[in-house]
Amino acid sequence: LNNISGIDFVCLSGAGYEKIALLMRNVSFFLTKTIMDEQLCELLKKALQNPEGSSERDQSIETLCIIVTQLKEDQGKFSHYLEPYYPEALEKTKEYFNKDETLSNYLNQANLNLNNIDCQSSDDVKRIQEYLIRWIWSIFKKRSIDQYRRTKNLLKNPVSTDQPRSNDPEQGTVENTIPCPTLTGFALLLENELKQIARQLKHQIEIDPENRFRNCHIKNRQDGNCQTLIKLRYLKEPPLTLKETSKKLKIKLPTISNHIDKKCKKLLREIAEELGYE
Amino acid sequence: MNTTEEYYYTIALTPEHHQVAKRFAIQQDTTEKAKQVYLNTLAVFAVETFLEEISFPADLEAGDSWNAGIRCFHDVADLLIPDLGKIECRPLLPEETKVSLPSEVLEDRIAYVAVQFQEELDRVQLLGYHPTLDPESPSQELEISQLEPIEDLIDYLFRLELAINDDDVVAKVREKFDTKSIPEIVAQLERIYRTCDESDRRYVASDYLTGLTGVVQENSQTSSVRSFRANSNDFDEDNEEDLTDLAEDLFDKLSEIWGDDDL
Repeated sequence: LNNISGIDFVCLSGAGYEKIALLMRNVSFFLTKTIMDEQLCELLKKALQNPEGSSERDQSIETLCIIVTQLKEDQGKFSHYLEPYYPEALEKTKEYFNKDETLSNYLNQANLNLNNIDCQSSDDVKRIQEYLIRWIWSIFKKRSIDQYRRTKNLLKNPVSTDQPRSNDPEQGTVENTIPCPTLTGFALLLENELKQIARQLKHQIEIDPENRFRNCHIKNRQDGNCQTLIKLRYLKEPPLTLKETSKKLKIKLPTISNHIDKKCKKLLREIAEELGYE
Repeated sequence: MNTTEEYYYTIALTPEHHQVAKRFAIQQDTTEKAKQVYLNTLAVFAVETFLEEISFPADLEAGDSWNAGIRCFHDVADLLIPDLGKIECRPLLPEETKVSLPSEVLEDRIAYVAVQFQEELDRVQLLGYHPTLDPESPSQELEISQLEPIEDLIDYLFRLELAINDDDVVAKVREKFDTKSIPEIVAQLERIYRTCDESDRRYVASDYLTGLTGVVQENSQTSSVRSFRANSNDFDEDNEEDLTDLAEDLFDKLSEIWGDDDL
């Protein structure tokens, strides 16, 4: 049993979620007003102080996840789509958040130090509120959406973890491997290496010696050719919008858009590569 | 819109990201342009990393920012999510508080993500996102305070994906427009749905759709345009009525999909 702000409830997993959810709904207003402060902080601290795999850690994490997801669920979107996936998403969120690595990343992102978390300090409590709720909710939300998309075959190349690779600033950063350029330094590095191919490309478009741009035109509209379209869309300052180009050439916007996307951009890329662009 | 205060999402940049950025940059004519291309490329990589983490993988090669012939002329940092649309990844230098939006990135973007650089280029922060802009009066810049929290981008993309994958919505749009336009149209309808009163939505959407059909002045030299019957008053009125009806049908369906949830 956990006692949060005077409310006793049993931490159940999976099938117990609905009971907890119902209870929490009934007291959500009360919870919003009371749990959002020191109790969340204490729960997090308890989780952090116990080793991964311990029942104390499991219980604290489970309680945290249930509270946060329930508090945020009222603000959630598409609940009618995602609700069937909540129990599974909750389980996965708990598993994920239970890991030392996740908690460590959370502390880094929130700029908190495990040894110095003070749940009586309004700064620490505020920081934990701000980060913890958003962090857990974003994991839970992603899990729910992933599960829905997986079921509907919408998920393409799913990644195995939703742990941001970057949340630990000490991992995988450039400075750990090779010296990283700085904002003030990198432009100087580039200065001596400029190949200046852009002006050659512009010249090729202008003169079009083999009529490659001019010959690539919209059906029955020789004036709607890639040379004209590229000049209007890319060389002109400021460039014309698709709508303006459509009006100027008196050609339907979708026709212009399709021709640019399917023909002109491809041709531009080809010629740029011939000039040495990569 | 919400402010994200200090909760910004950090993305590490790898040596590979820098190698590609440098390769793209040194092909430019001037140092200034090279710097722009370098930062745009890194911004695209950062957002691509984030999109992969939220399981909306992007196709780097498909964007204008990866087209050598376009990035040398345009200030672009776009990233295509297949079947969903383009996200523009805009870099901000340290101390910059506004996201600048050059005219070339104001069309056909479903969202804008602000990428904050610091002096050290080993990492960036994603400050947030902004949904698609009104094509009739797009902003030239966005304040950071106008951005939505970056972790809510997944809600927005999911919202669009639900509509784009709905058979009724697709069939209705296809009656008037080609398939390619569907993601862009859905993003604009989503904007109208989110920002307009229910009573105004269909008229605003009708105006937008009218612009998209590309009603043009008749060109007497071309049969294809003539057959389009442009510049005819009867046609304009019929077309407007058709599009208002289409907009109403679409919003009926979209309200079933999106509900009354406030984005």
